[in-house]
Amino acid sequence: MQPNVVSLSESDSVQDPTDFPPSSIAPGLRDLDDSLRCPICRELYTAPVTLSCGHCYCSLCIRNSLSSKAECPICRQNASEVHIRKNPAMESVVKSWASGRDFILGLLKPQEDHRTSPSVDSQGKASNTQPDSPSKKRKRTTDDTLTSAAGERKLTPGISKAQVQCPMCNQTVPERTINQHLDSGCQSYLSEASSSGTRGQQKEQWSKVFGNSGITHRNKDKGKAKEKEKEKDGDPDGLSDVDPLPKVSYNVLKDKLIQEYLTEHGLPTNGGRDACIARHQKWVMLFNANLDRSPANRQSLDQLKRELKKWEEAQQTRKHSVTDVVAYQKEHKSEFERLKEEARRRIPDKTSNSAAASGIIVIDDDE
Amino acid sequence: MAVSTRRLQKELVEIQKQGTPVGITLLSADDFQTWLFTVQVLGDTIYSGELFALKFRFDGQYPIQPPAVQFVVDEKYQAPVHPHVYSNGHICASILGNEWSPVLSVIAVCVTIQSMLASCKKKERPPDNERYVKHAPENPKKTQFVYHDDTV
Ligand SMILES: [Zn+2]
Ligand SMILES: [Zn+2]
Ligand SMILES: [Zn+2]
Repeated sequence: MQPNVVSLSESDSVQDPTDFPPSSIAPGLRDLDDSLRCPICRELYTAPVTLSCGHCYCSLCIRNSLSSKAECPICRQNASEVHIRKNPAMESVVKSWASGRDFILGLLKPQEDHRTSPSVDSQGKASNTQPDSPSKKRKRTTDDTLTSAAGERKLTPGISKAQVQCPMCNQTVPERTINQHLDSGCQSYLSEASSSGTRGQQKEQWSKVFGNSGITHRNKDKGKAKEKEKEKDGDPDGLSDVDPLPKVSYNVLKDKLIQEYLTEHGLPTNGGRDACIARHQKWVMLFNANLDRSPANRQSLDQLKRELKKWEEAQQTRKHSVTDVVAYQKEHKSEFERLKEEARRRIPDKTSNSAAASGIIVIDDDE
Repeated sequence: MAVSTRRLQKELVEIQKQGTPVGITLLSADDFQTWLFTVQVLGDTIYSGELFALKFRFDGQYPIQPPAVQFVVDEKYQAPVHPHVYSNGHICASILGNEWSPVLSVIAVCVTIQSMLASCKKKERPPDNERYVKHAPENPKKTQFVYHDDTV
């Protein structure tokens, strides 16, 4: 169990381009961080792909989007899955940026301390209009801002027990091993938490899928040498010459055949026709999006199944909420409080006044 | 954490760090399901001096699917009188329906609606207001709007 809320919220900390100072202080960095993010999820690209128009998205994000609307979300040019092309150059840029990002933020911090001008004003204005005018009154704001720009980030890896979410595979990884984790193509150095956290609620069907040894244990039990070997070939499931899965027209298929499709991939077949279709659809998406990573960065089939299971659990929570609204809201409330608290810590007091004045109206018209 | 929650979390941090555009204020964001904003139309328009509130509701499909957006109608706020706004607060705007794109954001929606009001010359309700309001579903997303024109 994590000792306290604080470290938990650090693990989830929201990264966004404004972590970097504006271009008057650090030219290009904020824009760079912004341009390495998917415009749909706003995370650093995972398995970046381009459409024929040239616009770039995470493979999974654009597959999701195309399944609801056959166009490029930016320029609205017609598009479909056949137009998806992987973008390994972007992938490797993002990978390097992800591993250097915190380091650069750390380097910026002492440099910023020498500045007396307001770096990131609450409205983002002061820095643009008068970047070089020193102002003693602003000093405090500046200091607060610095904490938000580079705060809570540690340059020295050895001592940190913080958990971070891997930008490539979204699994939880101890901060100090995130680079090694990335280097391993997201295969190793996972947190204990990323497997044990969900274990309690594992459905019987799903536990069969994973057997008794999750990926975390497999890696832990392996000797260092063996692990190295596996990292080298980086393709435990032999995914390198696999074709993407074809789309299926489910409405002409008998239940039994759909179940066979699932069994074929070692997936559970419980939950009725609709659940099986949804599961298979999502699996095809996850599977094909994974192939858009370069081989060294691919997730194992086990990890993909874990993703699928997580997604299914999230779906169930949502359905559950209809019958148990209060519990759902409670659950999300605490999560939200935590995130809000975190957001607050990252910003100067003045900026939050629009949010602080909140909570006046309660509109309760549901049902 | 769900994709929709993470995305909203980023939007919230951005709002808190960068502030909101002029005339738009975050009123409350108590969770990742319902957010409220106030909207004012600035400059010399037929709505000058009026303050409206916009309610956003999100489900797990955001941002692939649009949020449910409507004007708040209660003892404090009224829906603006506008040819695309029903008196129950529902808005007929293509950006909230078939013109939605997952690269849009909560603030982008606020700004679009603000400018929809700003460009209005005559205060009137949609011609089918009474009929619509009588049978309207609680959630505007369940309405299949026929967009009055393609300028919004
Ligand atoms: Zn994405
Ligand atoms: Zn495009
Ligand atoms: Zn990873």
